[in-house]
Amino acid sequence: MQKKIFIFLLVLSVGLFLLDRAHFLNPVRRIADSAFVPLEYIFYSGRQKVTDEFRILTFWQSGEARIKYLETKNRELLEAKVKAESLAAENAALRKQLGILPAGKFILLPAAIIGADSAKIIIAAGTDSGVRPGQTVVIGETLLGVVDSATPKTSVVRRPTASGSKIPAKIGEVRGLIAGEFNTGMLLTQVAQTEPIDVGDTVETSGEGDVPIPNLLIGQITKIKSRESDVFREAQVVSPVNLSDLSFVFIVK
Amino acid sequence: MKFTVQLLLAFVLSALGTAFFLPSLVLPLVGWVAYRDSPTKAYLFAFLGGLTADLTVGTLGFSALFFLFSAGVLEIYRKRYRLGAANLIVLLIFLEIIYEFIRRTI
Repeated sequence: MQKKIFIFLLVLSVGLFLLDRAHFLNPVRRIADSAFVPLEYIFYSGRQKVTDEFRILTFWQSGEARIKYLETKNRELLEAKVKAESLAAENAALRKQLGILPAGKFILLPAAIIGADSAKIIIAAGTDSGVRPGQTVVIGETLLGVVDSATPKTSVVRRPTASGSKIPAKIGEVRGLIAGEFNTGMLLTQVAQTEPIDVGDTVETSGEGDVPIPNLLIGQITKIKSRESDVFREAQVVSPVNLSDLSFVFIVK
Repeated sequence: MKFTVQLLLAFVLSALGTAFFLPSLVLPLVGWVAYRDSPTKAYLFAFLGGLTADLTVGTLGFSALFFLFSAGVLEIYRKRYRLGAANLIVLLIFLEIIYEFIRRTI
């Protein structure tokens, strides 16, 4: 009897697995998600609050150095802002002259984060909201990832840090590839030895491959990892976004 | 523990697991049921608990299938050897590693 129940449930599980893979169970998921998604959101928000409380406990150690660093960065940003404003005005004038639509005007769909780790983000928006695999997920003009799979109410976003993730990137005029490193970090690779890249350079999407939108910020080079004898230059890239500070992300439609 | 309470706990643990990306928090409950109650109840709980975990993240049936496999492994172990608390924890950690590996790979 026990064996029969076991085999029956096993067959049922395999059946459900195959049916869900073929999206035949979407109506069931839609109903179930109505109950699950709010609860998952509550738990995720709770997690963020708890993490914030603990962050205060460790802040005193690194706080002073971070404040000094941020003050320097703030001054640099103010200088960059002035430069950017004049460039934006010049750009707008040129665009007007050439009749090109303003850059960065995407249709964005907001979605609450209900789960995340270093390789994936789960968001409370799915096929019912028009989300489909392959869409780009951003916060501001920073790339967060690409929709990997979607159910009627939720979607899984693959982050650039995920193993197997490969995003064509550029550093100014230099072309390269951002590859996920063991679900924990990003590696800039496929950059020719002769190309000038350095710590502090910003890495952006080139608009090719999985991310068809160019000029989205991916991160900043924090360490050059390759040696001069290597065929390609490699560098460690870190995203400026701390996911635990975010509650919402935006899907580019 | 009443079966409905265990299922409710599975529901909460699944949602909690999604927030921290650890949906296999249900697995220890499967072990607990297999350890304390009957194998039939463990199979049923593995199936329903697995479905609950799958509804929060992943493909329906995947966790159910793996938790059933885990309950089966626990039952085979119990028939051959003495399933003490220490063995149970070691087995659960082992199963958890396999589960996480498969879940992150597919």
